[in-house]
Amino acid sequence: MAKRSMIESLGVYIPEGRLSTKELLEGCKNRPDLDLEGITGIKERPVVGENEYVLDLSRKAVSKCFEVSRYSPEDMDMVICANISRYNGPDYKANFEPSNAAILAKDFDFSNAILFDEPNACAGMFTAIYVMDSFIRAGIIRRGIIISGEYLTCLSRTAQKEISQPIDPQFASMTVGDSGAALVLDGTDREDIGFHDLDVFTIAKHCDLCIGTWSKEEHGGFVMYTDSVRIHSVAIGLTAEHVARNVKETKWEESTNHHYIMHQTAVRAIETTMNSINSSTGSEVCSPDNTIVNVVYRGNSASTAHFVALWDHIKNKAIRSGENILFAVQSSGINLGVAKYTLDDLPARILAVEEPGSVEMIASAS
Amino acid sequence: MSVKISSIGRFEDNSGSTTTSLELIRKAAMPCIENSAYKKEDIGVLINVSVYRDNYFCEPAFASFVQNDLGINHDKEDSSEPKTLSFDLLNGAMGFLNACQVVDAMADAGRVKAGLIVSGDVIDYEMNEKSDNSGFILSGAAMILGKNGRNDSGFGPFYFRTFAELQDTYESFISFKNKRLTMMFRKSPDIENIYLDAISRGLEEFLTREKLRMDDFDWIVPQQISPGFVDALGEFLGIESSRMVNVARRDSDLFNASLPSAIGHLTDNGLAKNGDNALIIGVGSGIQVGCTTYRF
Repeated sequence: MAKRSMIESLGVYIPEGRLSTKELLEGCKNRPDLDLEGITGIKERPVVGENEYVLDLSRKAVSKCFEVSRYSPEDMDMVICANISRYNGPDYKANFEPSNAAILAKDFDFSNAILFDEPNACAGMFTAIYVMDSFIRAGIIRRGIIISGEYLTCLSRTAQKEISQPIDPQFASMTVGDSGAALVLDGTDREDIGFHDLDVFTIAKHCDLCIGTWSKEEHGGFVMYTDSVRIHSVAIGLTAEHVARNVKETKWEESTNHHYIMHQTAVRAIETTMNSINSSTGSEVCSPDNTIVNVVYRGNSASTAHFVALWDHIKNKAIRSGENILFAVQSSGINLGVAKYTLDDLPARILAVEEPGSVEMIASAS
Repeated sequence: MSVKISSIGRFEDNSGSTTTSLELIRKAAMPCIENSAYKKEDIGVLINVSVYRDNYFCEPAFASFVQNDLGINHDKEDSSEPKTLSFDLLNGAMGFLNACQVVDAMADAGRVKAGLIVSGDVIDYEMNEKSDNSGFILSGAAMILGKNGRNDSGFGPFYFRTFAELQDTYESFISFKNKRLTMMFRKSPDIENIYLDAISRGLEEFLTREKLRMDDFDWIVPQQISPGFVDALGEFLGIESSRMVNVARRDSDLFNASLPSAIGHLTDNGLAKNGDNALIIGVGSGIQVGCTTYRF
């Protein structure tokens, strides 16, 4: 029975299309009088191609994940799809049955795996990690894959038609970007790598601060209504307190080579969270040097955001093998969580696949 | 030691006046909580398995609305207080059985004392044009699982198998055409026979893997798709009807409420005695088969 879990492999797919914040605003039927780029720090976001949907993003991320992994699809004991978006075809087709995980079982050989979808807003992939880690620790499975394809710019397209005021409930819909992510979670007996601590919980009294549903306008489409002011105030305050408690209790600030990856909503929100954590701990544990800001060219990619950030910063060599990461989880619901993680040689293995020939000193693993 | 069923709550609306998932779930979950050996504070995980829900909400997880509605650790912010993680688990009619295994794993890993699983599938006809009939009965179901109780009772090993080559025989989706949302259910006219075939293949694998025989079970608890389906499965497996739990409603699939309804029937009516063994067989879109055992 493995003592803990570790990310054995990671694959991220970013669609080639790009939409700048300027273009997004220019496409609004009633252009709001606001400096969206100034407020959010988001310059552009990836957008899906024509006839590219949630399952396409998922499949491409899974394929990339298995390029890095030591395992094959048939080695997976569990498959969890954690995406929020279910947009899977023309005419705003959203599939309910079979589950996305069951559909992917036909594309990959997942037939003998325990599989289901487990959406939990932007905390979906971390909730899936928490669940799968429990199965690994309980000795029920050896490993599994967690998948999310987020086609979110459909929300921006609806907002372009419906937004009418600078402080609009659909403001947050203008910050999102599309992506796919997949990771293999494997058991390990090593105590120096993997997830050291992991928690996620729901403070449901704030459940109505961000709602994703269907537009009731005659043009149809998916829509997200967010009380941006309240959700940021509540989520940032609670996140800062929760992260600070975890940092203090485990003396995390004394460890070296660590990074903070928070949910990627907007540059200012990340900076405010960073400052709030420092205020709560009474020391400068977070700084621009160790806090990852990935939202500028990716937008908010919801459940995939932490892993898109990890992928990008492995590829730009800011995050290296053997380093420590504190993931701060926050989402509508409201879900909060903290995961403390030490990388094995995953960055080196990703670079070996993505940038063959590049050399990295590996603080590894073997 | 595996988790056991602490309590079950069921609610069926034959009049059709209960129209929301949240209401169906509330009416099932409140008696479930009242009758449980666990307090609300003990519920460390809340899993909603309803595939079809009010307004087709996709964010946040519908489970967080349920957690707030039922007042389960919904306002606990301090780290020293008990906490609940709420999320949705979507896998057609297999969701409830999947969720039982999730609670079992989380309890085994020491993460939760007890878990609450809820379902309340509705087609929101306020929002969309009525097209194909889903065939669901309006029902809410709730089940609390935990580790308290006799060591020799509770769930046994779980088994899940997907027959992906049969995937196209059952599909449901919503789309927007002619300025209206339309929910579509596309099922093969032969779907019940497809299920029977998948069950025969999956069940054989499960029994072989676990070294079990059909004679080991006092009760067979199948998916409650229709009375005819349960009868046909019994005949197919060569099981006398007195051992087949059949609480299916005519022309109405109990869907995710199948397992709690069938187990509740056995316990509420005093049919299952301490030490009785049940074989639970789930089947649903995918096409997926799930099996486990339960010792009362």
